[in-house]
Amino acid sequence: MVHLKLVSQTGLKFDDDVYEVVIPTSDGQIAVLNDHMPIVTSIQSGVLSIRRSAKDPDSRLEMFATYGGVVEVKNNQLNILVDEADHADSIDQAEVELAYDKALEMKKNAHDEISLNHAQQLIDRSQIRLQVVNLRKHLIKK
Amino acid sequence: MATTITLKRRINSVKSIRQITKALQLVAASKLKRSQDYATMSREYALLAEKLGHYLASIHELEKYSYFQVRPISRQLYIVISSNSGLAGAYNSNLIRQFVRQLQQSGDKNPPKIIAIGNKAANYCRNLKEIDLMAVYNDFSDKPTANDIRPILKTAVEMFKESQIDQVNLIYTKSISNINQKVISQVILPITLEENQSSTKEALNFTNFEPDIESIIDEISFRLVEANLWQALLDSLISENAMRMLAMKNATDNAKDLIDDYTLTLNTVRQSRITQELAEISGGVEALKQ
Repeated sequence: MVHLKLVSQTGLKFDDDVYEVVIPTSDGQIAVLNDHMPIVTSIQSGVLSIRRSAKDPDSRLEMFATYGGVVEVKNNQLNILVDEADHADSIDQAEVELAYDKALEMKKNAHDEISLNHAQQLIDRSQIRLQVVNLRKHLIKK
Repeated sequence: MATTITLKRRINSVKSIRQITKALQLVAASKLKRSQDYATMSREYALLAEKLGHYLASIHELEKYSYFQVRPISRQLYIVISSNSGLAGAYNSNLIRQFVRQLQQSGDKNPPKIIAIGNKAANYCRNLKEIDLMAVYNDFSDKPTANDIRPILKTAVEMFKESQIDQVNLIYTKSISNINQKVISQVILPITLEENQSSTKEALNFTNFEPDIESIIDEISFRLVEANLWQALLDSLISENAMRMLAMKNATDNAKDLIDDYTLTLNTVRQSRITQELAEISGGVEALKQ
């Protein structure tokens, strides 16, 4: 088992022993299982999925939408420091879609660098959230 | 001596002031509780960032990486965290006093650059000469988010990396306890790390850095600075609410004393008037008898 600690600026998001964690790093996805070598790497915006026990089917994966951070693996302790992590269950698809459309609108109307960056950031976030929702739906259907 | 009518009027106005300060005190108390809870939530983040910082402490020649370069100081950036509203005791004046002292001591030839958080610091800086007020942030809520401080952080880090500034100072009010707050001036860039422990050095030899050590140093350093700024902001919020609560409590107590004083005077005045009237009446009766 690996002990996962997922921390964002708004608090501890996950703190438990798990079987496997798949992390979107800047060099592509890595899966961390028992006795992973010590590593420090950066995490990208994407989907973080957690398998609590080896027998769990894909439909029971726990997922988080994450937006950049640092990962540390040492002695079966996995520490992840992220800007923000949204649990799949806390994401409301309709809400995100609305936010996405709004962000696209904002980008269209953006007239300076700052508001453009801001809009793009919102778009990226909504996209990852939608990705999480869709992936989860897909896995449950299977 | 004041007449009864003016005294009554005074008592009434002090009473309504007391109601207001009492309400403000209660609001500040509940906000204090909330900001404390909020700060506890994000303590994990600071702890973990600090732990990751230990990795950096054991890297050789850390000074060559941009976040750690110590340069002769000729241009400084100050980030000053104040509040938007007043009535918080000496919260803002303490802060500004410390800030001014530091500006005077620095003796830089170049005008210092300032990022002000909160209207009070901003208004003060607007009146200063020979400074460069770069930005004012006055729209933070009671629950600031990581996104709120991101632009401040980005500006500071980029300017430091491009050698436009040599040092970034953070001036804020640290909350030591509910009745004890202290204005702190902290250098957040360049980053200084505590002496490393041997255990982390050992562990480092077996640790892989992906994609490469430079980007990891960059990433962790950014988080360290972020955690510092974030903690400072939350600490300031707690201090502000605690100081406002205390100030309003004192005001409420003072109002109570004032009301007691006025009531006593009112009673004396009324009594003496009654006595005088009685004296006049009995004087009149005596006069009629004769």
